[in-house]
Amino acid sequence: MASYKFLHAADIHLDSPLRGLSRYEGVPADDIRLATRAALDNLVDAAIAEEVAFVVIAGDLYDGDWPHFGTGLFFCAAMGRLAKAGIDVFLLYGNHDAESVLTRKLPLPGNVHVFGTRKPATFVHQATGAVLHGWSYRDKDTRDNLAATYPAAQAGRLNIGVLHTALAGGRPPHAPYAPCTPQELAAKGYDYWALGHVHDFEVVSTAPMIVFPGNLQGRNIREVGPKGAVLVTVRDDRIVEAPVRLALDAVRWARADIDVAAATGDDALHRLLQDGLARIHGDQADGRPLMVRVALAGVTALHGDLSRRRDALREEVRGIAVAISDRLWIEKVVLRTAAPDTRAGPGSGVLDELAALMAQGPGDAELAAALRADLADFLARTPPELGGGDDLLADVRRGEVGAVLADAAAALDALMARDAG
Amino acid sequence: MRFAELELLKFGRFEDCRLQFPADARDLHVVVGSNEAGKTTTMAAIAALLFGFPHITPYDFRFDKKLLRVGAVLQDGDAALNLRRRSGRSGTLSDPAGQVLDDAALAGMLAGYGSDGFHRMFSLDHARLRDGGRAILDARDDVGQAIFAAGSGLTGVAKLLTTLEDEARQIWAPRRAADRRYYAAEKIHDEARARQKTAQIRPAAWDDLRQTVERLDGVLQGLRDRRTVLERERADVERRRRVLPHAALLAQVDADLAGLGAVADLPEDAAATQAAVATDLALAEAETRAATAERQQVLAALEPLVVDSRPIDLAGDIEALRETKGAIDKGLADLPRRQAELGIGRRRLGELQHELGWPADGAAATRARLPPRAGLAALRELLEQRGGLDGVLGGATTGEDEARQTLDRVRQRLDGLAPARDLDDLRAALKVARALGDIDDAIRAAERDGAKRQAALDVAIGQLAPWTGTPDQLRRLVVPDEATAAAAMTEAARAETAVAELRRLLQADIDRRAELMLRRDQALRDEAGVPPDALAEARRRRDAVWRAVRGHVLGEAALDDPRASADAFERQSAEADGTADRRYAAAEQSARLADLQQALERQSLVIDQRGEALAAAESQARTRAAAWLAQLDGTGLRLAPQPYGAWAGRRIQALARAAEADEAGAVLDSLVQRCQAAADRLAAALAALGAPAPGGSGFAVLVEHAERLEQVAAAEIQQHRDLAQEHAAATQALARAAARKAAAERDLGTWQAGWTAAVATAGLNDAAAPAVIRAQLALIEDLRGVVDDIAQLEHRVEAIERDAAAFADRVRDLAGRCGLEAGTQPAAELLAALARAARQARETQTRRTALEGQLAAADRRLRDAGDAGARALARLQPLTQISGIADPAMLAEAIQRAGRARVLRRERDRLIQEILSAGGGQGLEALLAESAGADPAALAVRADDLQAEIAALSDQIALHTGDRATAQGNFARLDGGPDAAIAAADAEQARAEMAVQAEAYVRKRAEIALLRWTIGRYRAEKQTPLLRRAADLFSRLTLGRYTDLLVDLDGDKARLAALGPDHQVVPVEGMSEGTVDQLFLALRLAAVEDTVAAGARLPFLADDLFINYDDDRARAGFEILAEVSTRTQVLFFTHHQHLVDVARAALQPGHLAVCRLD
Repeated sequence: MASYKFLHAADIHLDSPLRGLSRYEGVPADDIRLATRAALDNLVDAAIAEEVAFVVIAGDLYDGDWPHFGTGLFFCAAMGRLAKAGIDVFLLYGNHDAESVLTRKLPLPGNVHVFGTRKPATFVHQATGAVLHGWSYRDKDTRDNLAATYPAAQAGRLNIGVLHTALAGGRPPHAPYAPCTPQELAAKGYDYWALGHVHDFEVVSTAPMIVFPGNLQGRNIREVGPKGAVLVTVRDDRIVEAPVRLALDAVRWARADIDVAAATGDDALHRLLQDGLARIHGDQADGRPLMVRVALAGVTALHGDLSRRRDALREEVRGIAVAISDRLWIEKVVLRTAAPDTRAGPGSGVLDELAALMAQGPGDAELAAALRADLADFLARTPPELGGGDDLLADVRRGEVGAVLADAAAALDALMARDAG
Repeated sequence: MRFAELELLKFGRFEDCRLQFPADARDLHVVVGSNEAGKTTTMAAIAALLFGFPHITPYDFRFDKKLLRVGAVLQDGDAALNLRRRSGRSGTLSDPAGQVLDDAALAGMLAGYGSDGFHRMFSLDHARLRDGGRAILDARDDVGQAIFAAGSGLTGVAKLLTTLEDEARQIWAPRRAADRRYYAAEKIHDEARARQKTAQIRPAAWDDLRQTVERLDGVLQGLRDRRTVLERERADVERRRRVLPHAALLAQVDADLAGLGAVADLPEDAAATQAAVATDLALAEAETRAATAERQQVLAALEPLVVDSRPIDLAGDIEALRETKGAIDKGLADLPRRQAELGIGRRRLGELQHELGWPADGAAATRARLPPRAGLAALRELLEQRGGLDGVLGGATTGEDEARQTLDRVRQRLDGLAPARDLDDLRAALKVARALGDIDDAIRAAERDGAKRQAALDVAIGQLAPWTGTPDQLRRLVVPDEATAAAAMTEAARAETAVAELRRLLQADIDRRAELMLRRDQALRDEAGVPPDALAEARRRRDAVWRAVRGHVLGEAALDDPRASADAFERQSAEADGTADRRYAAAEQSARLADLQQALERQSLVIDQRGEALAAAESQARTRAAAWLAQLDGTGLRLAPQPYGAWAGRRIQALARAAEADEAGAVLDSLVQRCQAAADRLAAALAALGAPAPGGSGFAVLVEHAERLEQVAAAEIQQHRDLAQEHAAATQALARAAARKAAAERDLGTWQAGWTAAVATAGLNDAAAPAVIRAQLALIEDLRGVVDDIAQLEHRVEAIERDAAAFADRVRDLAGRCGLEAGTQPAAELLAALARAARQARETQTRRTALEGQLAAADRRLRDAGDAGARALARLQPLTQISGIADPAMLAEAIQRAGRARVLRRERDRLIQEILSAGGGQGLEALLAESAGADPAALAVRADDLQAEIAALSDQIALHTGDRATAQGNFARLDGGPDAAIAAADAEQARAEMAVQAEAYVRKRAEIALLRWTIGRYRAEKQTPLLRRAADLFSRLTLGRYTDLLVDLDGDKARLAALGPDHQVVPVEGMSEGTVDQLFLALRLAAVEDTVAAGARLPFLADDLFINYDDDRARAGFEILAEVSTRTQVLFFTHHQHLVDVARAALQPGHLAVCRLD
């Protein structure tokens, strides 16, 4: 065969729910629910449409703690569609798969070839003569350099290395599993390294081609932008073209950083939000439902008022989003504005005196301790993982209450000013 | 200022009781006394000393109020003041010697404090401590206001705090509630998780179900294989059973065929063919004979029949003449009548020509003279129009005359009417008058009401006696106001009560003295005792004599009769000694007499004092009465407060009556004025209309007069309006009538021109009147009809005669062509002869044709019978050739044997088919061989066995198939459906909402914490020293359980609260009763210290304030009091000895002075 194509995907995390989305009226909730399945269907459709010779999946097909066997059956059905199209699949298990019961129990269709976990395995794709080397994870926490023991390249054939790794040095926040360097990989003499584990698309090297395709479907606000797989064209057993990235995600995540410094009132603020959201939707949705985290930034006199009415602001942003598209979902509204320094100095009224005292609050250790004590019961009775790892709740759980007290000071300042006015 | 000494000289139960309070660095003194020992009395005595005796005191139960005395030694720095206080209005302070002291000496030490202030701040029992504490909490006094000043600016912030707390609770609170947003999201999350668990498929479950299906597949396959083997064997047995009977029959058939030997192979229908041929030959022969006989009969009948063809050929012409003959006969019969009608017509023609004056021409000439129909029609139409035109013109002329007459009549009536009057003013005036209603009645009612109210006023004024005057004077009368009068009444009543009470007491005292005197006199009479006064009297008499004797002896005053005086002295001495001896001899009786005497004296003193009090009360009452009467100066009244109260009430009632009378008068005036104004307006309007009201008439008469006039004038106006409308209508009607008449005249002229032209066109006399022309037109129409009838009759007669001649000619011609002699025979008879000849010729021809048909038929039957016999013989030819037998009898036998052989062969073929059919595809030979020698009974037994075994296997297979279907169904349900993933997504969304709410809650709590912290800082900075000191004292009094006091905010209200265990803010309502007491004491002591520091260094008196304290807290209390006592003196009164012990234990020796009341 002089020319053929194959697809390289990884980190499908099938049936893993999308995180961080509070449902509200007017959002495409149904599209969100089965996004990872829809993305897998997109992968299969793309493979059939592109008439690829085979598909490589470089690990993390499942979520580690996901026990539902139906997920595996759905995967089998999808692979069955590829089998009918005569497309083989070469599947490598990653760290998540290693802890998944599905990996051990699920009988796979005949066109799916799984790399073993005991040692590196090599498959020869009969139709193309391509050789694929891979080693599935036996354990989740695999810290060995698996690539080091991969076999040497077979001469006269296209050699593909399949590996689930964060490479040496790691790629936070991904755990540094199966560490190895690009130089080590290049030294194997393979034509293409189909990597997985890192959820962002990255061409690590072009000679040889070392590629992270990124995950198939973004699942939270940290995984923004297009997600999908890589289409690789082979001519005369050589890769001579840059791989083509295919966007196969069913829904998409985006961040909208909107500078509201120019807003002097609610109307102007809403116009800025409307323009910003319409722009991000036009630029990034690509016909898909778009989940957006909106961050308001800029030095503005509205800072205090915005701090005061965070809940209302969230509803306002949601309302603006719904008006733009019923496929636009506001994941969260983050306030990063700052107040202009307009205070002429401490006044003599009670409120001025209170404000002056309040400004000292965020730095007061006794107050911080009191707040921690106040929240202790609440935090003890709510799930520890609630709210993810990098937000306000996480800070508070770590006992860091300075930021939330600073926000509170701004909100209270605005509240008292409003009441006084 | 401090008490160095307190003397209860005469106060309550005390007399000459002295309490000393030695000075020390700690000026704390515990005054101990058992219950009823007089603690409260002592505190009251202190107050009386400092601020004077109250008017009424409960402490005069032993000593009269006037006798009450309290004394003290007061120290203020180096100054000391020894003073006494008695009851009274002034000059009640004195020194111990009774020298009146100026109040200023004491007032300087009191730092401006009065009795109330002193009691509130410095002299506390448990009740006053609590009252004062509550006053502080409610900011009703200076202390409370000072404490709460710091919270006064925080109201709005407190509301904000409350709002934030509410908002936080709406998100989360320890108590789960469905309407809290976090819990709502959590509920959705938990439900989604539950759905996920239900929906998800565990790998082990999937594997188990898959293995179950596979196992059941294996079992089912084994059962089905065994059943297949048995079913095969059962098929073999059943086949053999089916073949066996057919094989036996086949053998029998083969034997029968062999028995027949050689047989000609004749066709199957050979026998039938032979029988049919014989029948056909017999039938052909009989037919030949019958046809021959019939032919001979027909030939004989034909021979005499000859046919004449001429009438037959001309039959159509004959029939046509017969049909024409009817019409000819009818015309000839009608001819005479037509000719008579022609004669009549010609006579009528002559008559009409004569009437019209026309010449007697024939019908044709007359027709040519007739005018055209169109001209006649135009004349008739014009005649008809003329009548209508004459009618219209007549009607129009009449209408014009009538309209003119009507107009003249209306004009005359209009001219006869008086001019209309303007009623606007009258109506406006009437409207005003009517609006007043029955004003006369109203005025009369108002007058009655005024009289009634005036009478009531007079009565009320009369009831004010002795005061007299007019209502205005009453209004101007200056009298004491209600409060003053009420106070005077109260004072007077109180004074009267006091005087009455004093009188009652005085009387009781006098009664008591009389009783004592009675008892004393009784004792004197009944007992030997000598009363002291009797002894004193005896000694007084002795001493009086002795002083005279002594003066004589000493030469100071000589006696006139010394001896007599000496005797008298001896006598008096003896009497006095004797009295004294008797008194001592009867000491007991004497003592009782002495007691009675003393009691009598005391009672006299009481009576004196009571009398003084009564006099004072009466004097005071008189003074008050005089003061009261002074207030009534100028009123002419001299009423005591009590009757004045009643008089004042009657005055108010009289004033009310006066107001009512004034109001009634005002109403009456208003009515009269409104009535007069309306009457004036009506009169003016009537005068303007020239109909003034009759003089002196009342308002009602005036209104009635005006209404009548208004009705009359209104009727006149309406009459004017109606006649004007009639005049306009009549004028218009006259114009319309004149126009109609002119139009009718124009139409008649037009008609006349048309008439003249039409008469000329018709050729009539244009000078003739229209009536003549109308008659001529009728005659012309008749003439036209007569001429037409004559022409028609003439044409008809000519036609009848022409047709009859032509008919006779045609009949004679036809008779000649048929060979008949015509002669002179009438045409009708000749035509009848022609018809008969034609009918006879046709009948002969018909008979001959029928006989010729019968002959041809007989010939055909003969030919057919011959053909049939030949064909029958030909059908036997094949059988003869096949069998080689020409003899019909032998041929019949051969045909029978061939039929038997054919039956047997068919049976054999059928049996072979049965065997093959039962053989399931095997060959005949094999089947016959298989069944040869088989035992049918043994085969049946085996078949039954096999059937039973197969049925049992089928049951098992059905059972396992069901199980397998169930297992497969269960397995199939474990598909890759998305329910679990959807539930997980839903759970994740709910979790996201939980996170949102959690963050919102944390933010809200941070705002609350920050705001609280800020408020706390603000309060701390703004907290008064007084509150800080109170907080310190309270903490010590509660042994550290409460650490601080703060001004908390309860909604928009500042309140005092304490920081309790774990820094909890505890409002006063949350404290125990004892703790509240300690809080109040702390606040009070802080306030006392504050007051002392401000210069008011008054002693602090505490009446058993530790009654709710345990020993530890009481100890703390004493320590604090000792501390306070370094600033001002503290006198702690108690009746609990153990508190003294506690105090002793708490304080260093020397720091406590204990003073006993007992």
